Amino acid sequence: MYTRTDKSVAAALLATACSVLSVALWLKPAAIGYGTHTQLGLPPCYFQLVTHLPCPSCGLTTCFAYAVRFQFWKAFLANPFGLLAFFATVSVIPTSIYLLWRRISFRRITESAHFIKAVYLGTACYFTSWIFKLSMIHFSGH
Amino acid sequence: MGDNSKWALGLGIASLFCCGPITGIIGLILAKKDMDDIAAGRAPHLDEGWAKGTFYLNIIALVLFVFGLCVFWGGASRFRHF
Repeated sequence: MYTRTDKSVAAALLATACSVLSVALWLKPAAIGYGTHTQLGLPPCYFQLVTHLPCPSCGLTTCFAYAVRFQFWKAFLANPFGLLAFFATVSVIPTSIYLLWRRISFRRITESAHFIKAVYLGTACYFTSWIFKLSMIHFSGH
Repeated sequence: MGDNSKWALGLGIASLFCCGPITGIIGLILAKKDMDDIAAGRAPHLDEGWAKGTFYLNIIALVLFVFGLCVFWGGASRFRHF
């Protein structure tokens, strides 16, 4: 049964995806590949301050800022997982419009077995991307 | 302890120490999935404590993240007065 909650969740997803992409377009990507989020008044990464190494999320905002400008290679170098997250965010827009239009509950997606597999795959990509970034730093020497 | 809860536990700890909200949100989804499975009878009831524990751990990680942001913003705005 299609409820008001289903409608609200689909609308919230649509609004969130549009806001994220708009903010990414508004931000100027940091040339060093991370730290773009500080333009929003957010603190710098404490993990990087302490360890001098990027955390798995470092470069995500920069990646989005590059990706909305269609500079996909730079986005990939900033954070490979971020590019995946960017395309996932873009795909949320037509999906949520479709859910609203056809009055389909979001639970049809979240309760499917494929959803949990996608969550695990995303997590694996997140940490693989981190290893990739760490090895890039290791081999480039900075 | 269900597989999802085990992962949610690891992700919650990662969220507390380095990864911020991303792993916290993923951990929350996985722990909620286990809680729903237990409620629907698809998973053993014995795992309920673990599922709830990891669910709250991820919530704590997310709350601490927001709290950290508030402390940062509070500190930054106080700094502007000097």
